[in-house]
Amino acid sequence: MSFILPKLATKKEIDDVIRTTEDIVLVLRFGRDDDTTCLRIDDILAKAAPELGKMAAIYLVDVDSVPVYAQYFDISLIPATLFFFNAQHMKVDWGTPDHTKFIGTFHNKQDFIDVVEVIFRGAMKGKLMVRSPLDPTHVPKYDLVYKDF
Amino acid sequence: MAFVQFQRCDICRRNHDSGNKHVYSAAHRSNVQRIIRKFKDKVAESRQVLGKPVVEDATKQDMSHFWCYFCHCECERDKRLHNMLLKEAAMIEHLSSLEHQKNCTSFLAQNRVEKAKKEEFVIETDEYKKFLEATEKSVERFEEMKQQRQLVVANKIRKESFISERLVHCYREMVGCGKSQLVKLLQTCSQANNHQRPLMSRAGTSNESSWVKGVRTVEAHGEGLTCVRIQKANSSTGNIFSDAPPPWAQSNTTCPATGVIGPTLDDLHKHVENSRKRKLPAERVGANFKHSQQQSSSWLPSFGRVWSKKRNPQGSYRYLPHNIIKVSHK
Repeated sequence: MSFILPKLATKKEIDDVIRTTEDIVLVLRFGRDDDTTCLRIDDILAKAAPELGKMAAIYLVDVDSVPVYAQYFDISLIPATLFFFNAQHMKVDWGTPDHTKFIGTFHNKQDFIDVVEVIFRGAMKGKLMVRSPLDPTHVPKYDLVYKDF
Repeated sequence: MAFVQFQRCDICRRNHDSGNKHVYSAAHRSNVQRIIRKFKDKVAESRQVLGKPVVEDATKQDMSHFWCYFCHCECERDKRLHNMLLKEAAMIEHLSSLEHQKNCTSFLAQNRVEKAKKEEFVIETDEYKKFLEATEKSVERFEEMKQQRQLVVANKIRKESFISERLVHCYREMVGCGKSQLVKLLQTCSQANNHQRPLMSRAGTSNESSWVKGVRTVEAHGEGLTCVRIQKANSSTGNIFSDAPPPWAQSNTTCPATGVIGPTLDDLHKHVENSRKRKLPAERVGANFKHSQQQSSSWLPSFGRVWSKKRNPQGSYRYLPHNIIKVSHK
């Protein structure tokens, strides 16, 4: 777990952060503090946070503490990183089955900075979905089985 | 010393004392060649539309001009006719004029250029007459096309207004008929107009469970990734894949106790006031005055020392060195 990045524990806190973050990218990392992959991504996020100060706000969320959001965002694998801009969820075409969130850890700090920059520029142009700037080999692979409900 | 008569050469744009020999000088020859080459290109361009006149919408075009070296004048290239622009028509008219033909002959003779080249710089009267006839036809064709385009636009507008009228009619009947009927009517309206964005079923109803059915993950696997306990989907609440309202935007969880979302009326007034003030000159009188600041009871408005003490010319006495002592002694 990272001691540098702020944590959100309740649904109200998450609501407030999503609603009040203005004109910068909001990054929410859903995961667990004791998970090894989460520790890796937290380290990358913590290192990038000061550099992205004017472009992004980064928060950590414990996936077990907010079942409402875990269910809404359909989080099954952790860490899952979601991006918002002015209370609007931003989608990214990662080349994986799920465009709504980034699952797994970034390869390095620069990858994360690139992603945030692409989302920021896209959002400023009014785009709700952007294409991932990452090398496909740097995006973790996973399988999801979807079912209608 | 003999008096030397200087002459001005318009082609070389300089004065010379060589008399008639000047036209044989290398500089003058090269200038003449350059002019002829340039003008030939221009004439070739206008000759292209001679057989097939081009008519365009005048509103989109700016008028362009060309310099006639033979007549020493600037002429228009295109001709404006009502709301139409006839490409190169004015230039063709100029090239076919008798005045231009005369000037062309004298220019070629003056600068010792072959007379045979005259054909390249003028347009014969017969050709011009044919061009006029062709122009009339193409103008008619253009007007027909324009009318057709207007008809298409009018039809589109008529169709859209019909659909909107029908929608309003549906809405008014909503009170009488059930909501399901309204949705059906809306769907038929949206089907009628395929160009419009399809109407969401959620838009007309307040029922939150009316979003489109989505998908949810039932199984997930990733190398090095932890799979959290997949929650059982509650069919009454959707998720990000269905078009469900997000938790942060749901009415029962709005954080402000007042239930007001977004800026208040006061904020709007403040914004309007600020944006109005921003347009005013920064150096205006009293620009930095703080209206909200509390003032003491003895405060009086500043009159800028014109009427408060003395007349303006006498106002400077206070700053003159010999008066400073007097004032301080008082």
